[in-house]
Amino acid sequence: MEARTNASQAARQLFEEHGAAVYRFACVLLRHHQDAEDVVQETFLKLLKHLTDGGNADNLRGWLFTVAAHAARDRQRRRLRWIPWAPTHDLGVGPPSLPDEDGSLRSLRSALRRLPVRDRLLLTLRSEGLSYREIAAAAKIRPASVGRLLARAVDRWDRAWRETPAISAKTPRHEVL
Amino acid sequence: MRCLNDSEIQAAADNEAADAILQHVRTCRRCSERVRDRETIMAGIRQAIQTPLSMPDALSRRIGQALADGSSQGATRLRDSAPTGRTSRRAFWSAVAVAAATLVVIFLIIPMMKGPTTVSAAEILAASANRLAQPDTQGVEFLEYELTLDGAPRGMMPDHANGTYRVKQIIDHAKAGHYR
Repeated sequence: MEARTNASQAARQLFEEHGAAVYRFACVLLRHHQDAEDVVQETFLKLLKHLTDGGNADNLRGWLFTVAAHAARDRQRRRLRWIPWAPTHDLGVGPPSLPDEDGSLRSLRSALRRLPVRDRLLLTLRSEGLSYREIAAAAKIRPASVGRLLARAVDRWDRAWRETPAISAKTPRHEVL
Repeated sequence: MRCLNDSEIQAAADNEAADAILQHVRTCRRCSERVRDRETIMAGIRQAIQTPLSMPDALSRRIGQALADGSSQGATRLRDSAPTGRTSRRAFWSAVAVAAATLVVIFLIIPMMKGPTTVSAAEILAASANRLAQPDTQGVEFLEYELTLDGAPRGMMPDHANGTYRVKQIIDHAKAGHYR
């Protein structure tokens, strides 16, 4: 009973510390906010179970992103079986408010949006501060390949960004993220 | 040491490179410039991705409550690893019901569907034409149909009244077009 209470407290604390980062990570990766919410919920409920079962508590931040990455990948695979949905099909569905509505970062995000899924995953994990070893576990790739794949992803992102037309603050929000 | 390739430059910019690579970066002007450029790009990516995106309140409350309960009972509860006794009993009776429904279909409904049915004159003529078109039939063939008219159109069939008629066809397959 005490272990359960401790696990619950630890999970809540980790949720307060990393919940927003995991949510942001899932949003960037999936570009679908309901799916992103599902990923966050699934990740932290698994964390609670992991802690309750006495799982390894070292580097739980890396553990969280690994679980979230796998959950996101499951959803992406499931979504591939359906006709791809574009937010423009339903203007009522839009991403949440972004803090830089002047457009200064929107072209960067727009370039990111055009990258393949694995590139987005690698860049997002690295941006969240995960080490190469943690990225390898989350992306299910060999640790020795992380640097090479990350370098290619950065090059592709850089090219995409240079090809992105200038985005003004008037560009519809659903075009971004 | 030779100059660095792209993945080594990336690793150096990410502080993940081996000591020998970092040593080279310190001594090679070209490689150190490439590392700096890469660091600038990575900073841009970080800035774009690490936007402070606030979590929806409803989601935050829901997960917070589930974690506080400590019982894995959120809006989407984690599935139990093993089925309970009630679940397995329900599964058994579901299987029995499906089997019973299948037997009813096989032994009652399908035989009923194969029973005598009323067919139209057009269907009889079509069946007859099909028979005539079959080239492998031999000898003299005798076909007999029972035709029931119910609501015969007076304009088209003035000399026919409603009732049951017997239609007979004789086809001599030995001579082409020899039938009546």
